[in-house]
Amino acid sequence: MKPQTIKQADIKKLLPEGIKNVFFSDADYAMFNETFLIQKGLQGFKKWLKFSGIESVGQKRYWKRNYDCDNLANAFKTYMNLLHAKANPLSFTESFKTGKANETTAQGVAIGVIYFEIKGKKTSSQHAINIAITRGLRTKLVPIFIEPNAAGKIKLTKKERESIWYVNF
Amino acid sequence: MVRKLLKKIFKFKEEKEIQEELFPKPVYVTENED
Repeated sequence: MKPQTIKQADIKKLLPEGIKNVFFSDADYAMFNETFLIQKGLQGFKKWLKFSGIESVGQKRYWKRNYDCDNLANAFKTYMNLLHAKANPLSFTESFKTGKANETTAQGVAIGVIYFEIKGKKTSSQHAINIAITRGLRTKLVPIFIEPNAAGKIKLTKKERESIWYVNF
Repeated sequence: MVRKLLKKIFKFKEEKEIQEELFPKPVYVTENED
């Protein structure tokens, strides 16, 4: 079956309302299924980090002062786009000349970076994680949140979802 | 000559295996999925 694609406007409809900074770099996006994202995909990402010398250490896992949540979230997005590019290696000219086709012509994969606020009793801090549009076990396309620093799929509270102020696909 | 070729083949195989481990083939959401 052919991979489904999604356009910027349709991704926007799936995001919480009122986010001030929403950015898209591609015209259309393919989507990875949920099981792949949180199992094989996340495992591959961790191996890729390890291969690059970013080791999992203690409670903070892959987090380092000079390689923190925004770096991890951007790296996760980049890694998933690498998988997408690797799985669809033919350029337009190569496809035309050989008569072969890529699995999908989507320019990117629907995985973005979000920034939101985590509020404690007296303190608050900003955090970066990933958002992915997928179908998973449901019939509808939905956004899921992924903590790339080991935890995988997570749920945000209503307040946290409302505090999202930056999304970049 | 043969040894050199074998070395090249093993190196290629090793690189391919590493690549496959580091970059698994993604599974896409497909059209007509229920």
